Amino acid sequence: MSRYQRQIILPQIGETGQQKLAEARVLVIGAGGLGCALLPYLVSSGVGTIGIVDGDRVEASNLHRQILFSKESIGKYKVYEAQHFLKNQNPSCAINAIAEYLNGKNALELFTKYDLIVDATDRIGIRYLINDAAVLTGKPVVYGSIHRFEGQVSVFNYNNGPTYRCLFPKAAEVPSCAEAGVLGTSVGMIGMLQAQEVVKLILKTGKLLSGELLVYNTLTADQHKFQFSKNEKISITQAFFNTEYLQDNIQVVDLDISLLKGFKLIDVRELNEQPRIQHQKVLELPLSTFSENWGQLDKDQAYIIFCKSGTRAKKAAAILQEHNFKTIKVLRDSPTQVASLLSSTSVIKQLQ
Amino acid sequence: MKVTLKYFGQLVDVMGSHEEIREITANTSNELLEQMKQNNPIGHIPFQLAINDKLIEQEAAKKLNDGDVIALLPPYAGG
Repeated sequence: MSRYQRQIILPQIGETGQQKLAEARVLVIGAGGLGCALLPYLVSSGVGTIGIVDGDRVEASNLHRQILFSKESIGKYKVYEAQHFLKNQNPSCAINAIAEYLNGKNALELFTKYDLIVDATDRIGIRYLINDAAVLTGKPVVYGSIHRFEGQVSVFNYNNGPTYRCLFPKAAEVPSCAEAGVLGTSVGMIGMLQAQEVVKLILKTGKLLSGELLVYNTLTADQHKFQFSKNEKISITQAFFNTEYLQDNIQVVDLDISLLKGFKLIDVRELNEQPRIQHQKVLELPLSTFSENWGQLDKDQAYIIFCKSGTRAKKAAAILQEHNFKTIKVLRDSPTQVASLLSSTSVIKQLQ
Repeated sequence: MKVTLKYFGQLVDVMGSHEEIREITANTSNELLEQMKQNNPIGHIPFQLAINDKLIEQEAAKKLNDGDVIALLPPYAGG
């Protein structure tokens, strides 16, 4: 225990507090900028079990802020790279690496295995999923998010307290770090504020940011706290969760000349399947390697995906939807119909 | 009456500052929102209002008073 001696001597912690940390089970959603900042401190303080959920692989553009990764991590799953780093840092901490994106199917089961959830994701849609799954499973959420140099931190659903939906009732489109830009030290500071809330929550010490939104400007060092209360009109039920996150909401369409203007087509059949369709509008990305190759697609471009029957196209569409692609549709038509439409003279004229 | 308006997130870029003191004719939060949306290109940005550090419900037509500090708070996505 000499490892923790300097914190054990704090009156707010002591041997009892250290034991609480050792028994705590924390689930961190997202191993990006916020996750990389808060994880090493949770591990070094002696949090006993930590789960990390993220389906992303490390990219070169992550390294300036995601300090658990090195050049050698590029292309590898973030959660395994983080697990390797953190295990080395404190072998007594159990690190569960979950190389998946959080979704309606896995969220509830995952959440029940942990005491508290850390929202360190970078997508608005996932923040609502985290909130709703936490409400259904009765877990508190330590929330952090960033826009350029400004960060927000709060604690939701603590003792049935206010939630993310009490703060921001409706989902809306908001730029991510990739779109808005971010500095490593800024996201690091916000992650550290989250780590402190996690430790306070486990130790039941201090005053939590429950019902309060902290907004910190890392460029001016100004901070504001805003009070918000529980909105009793909002109720998250299992039925709501199912409709919101478990229903297949991918639109299936018939190919139409008018659709071709703004859209690009993606053929997810394997390369040996006939007929092949060679056309400027058609990209060939077989489903077998789709998870590795979707990164070359543009999130703002609208895509229509097709295969032979639509089953594989739906799987590919689900992958893109998870990654916040704006407009994704699945085609009802067979490849033969696509080929004949693309070679028709009216289409050739339209696309000229 | 005079109020202080505080902008956060994307609203800083659109409004051109973090904070300003404005003479307003609006009597309620709803009227102020409507006027602001008419005169500034902020319609596409989602945000909540806080009056004197307390968030208000979007539909609530809260009476404004001279000297109020009104914060416009958008959600952030990044992480």
